[in-house]
Amino acid sequence: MSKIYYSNNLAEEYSSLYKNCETKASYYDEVDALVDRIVDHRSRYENVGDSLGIPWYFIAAIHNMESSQNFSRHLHNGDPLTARTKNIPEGRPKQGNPPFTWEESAVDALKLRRLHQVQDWSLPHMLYELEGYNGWGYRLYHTHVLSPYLWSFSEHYVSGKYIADATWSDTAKSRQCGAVILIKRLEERGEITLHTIADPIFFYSTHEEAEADKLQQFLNQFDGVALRVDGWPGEKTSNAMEKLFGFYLKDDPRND
Amino acid sequence: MTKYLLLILLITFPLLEVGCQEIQTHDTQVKQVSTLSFIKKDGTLQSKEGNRICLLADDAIDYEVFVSPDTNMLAVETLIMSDLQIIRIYKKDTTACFHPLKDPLSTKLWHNLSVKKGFVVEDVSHPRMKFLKWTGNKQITVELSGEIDNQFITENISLKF
Repeated sequence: MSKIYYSNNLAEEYSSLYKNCETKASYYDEVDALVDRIVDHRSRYENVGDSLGIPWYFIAAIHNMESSQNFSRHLHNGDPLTARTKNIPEGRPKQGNPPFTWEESAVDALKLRRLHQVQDWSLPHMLYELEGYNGWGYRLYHTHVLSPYLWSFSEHYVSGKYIADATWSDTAKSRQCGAVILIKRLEERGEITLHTIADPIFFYSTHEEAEADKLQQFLNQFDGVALRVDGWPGEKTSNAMEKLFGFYLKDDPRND
Repeated sequence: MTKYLLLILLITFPLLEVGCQEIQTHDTQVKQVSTLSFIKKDGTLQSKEGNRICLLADDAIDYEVFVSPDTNMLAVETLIMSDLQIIRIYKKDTTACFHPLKDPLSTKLWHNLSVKKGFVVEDVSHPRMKFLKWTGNKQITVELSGEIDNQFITENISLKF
């Protein structure tokens, strides 16, 4: 498979898609449950990530995609840790003897993909690495569908995927939460801060407003705030402002 | 004479069946079976026999090649996406290149298993086909596995071409 090379256009595309990415409401609970489990195991992801210079939430997202956050499976491909991998990549890790710890396997899997050599972990480049980890089949051969590996459960994805026999189906639909949705929710809950978030803009509205999502993302960085990033800077957003800074959003009627 | 034959067998058997020589470089992997070798580079798979190089595939992340006992067929584990692995069968033609069989093995086996087990192929997540062994020059055993509604399924299947 040809490799897709990172470019400014690609970076802009990822940034724009992320900015406009909204989780479908019907998946809110499922996404939060997945994120709860990720947060519970944050230290395990950090232990691996810190040793390789890879953000812990990138590893968590891959772990969810490849083996449903199962710590008894290889990060490479979901094979059991009781033996070396039998599926591609086969016979990993080459060093040590089974049973492997999840951490041993994860380090091997990430190094095999040379992710420890990546220097740029900005949001767009991270999404590029995520899509590349899964493979470029969607972008190369099915350009009308954004990869469900990244965007499933969001408004960016409706249907279309490779099925078990590797044929393409326009009607088949991924049932797995996309990696970006997990990362975005982690950011909304203040568990992580990504590089591309701009300064907040302060105003109150009962309608969706441009840039309001950035304000909500900013507020979510503080303990005790977990706003839904929907771009509506209404009562809850204003409450969070008051809680943190002692005043409501500008134009909030409670300021009168 | 008998000792000589045994010695030849001991030397050639691992080359053909088990200990395929693997050389790993930065981006290229070469797997050699007798005079036939396979080159994996940047998502492509090529065969090389003598001076003849043939492209087998260029649409996957990675490959593992298993040569039939008579070296006329290949079973190639093909990692299409990180969460999707199939096996393609190739047959050698008169030009010493290998070409995939017209009817994909993966479609036939997944369809048959879905009918037998009563599921829809589209509902399988993390589907993988694992090569197990050649049981003749035109017969293999493979393992199909995947998840349906969080239930793990696995099935070994033998198939003759």
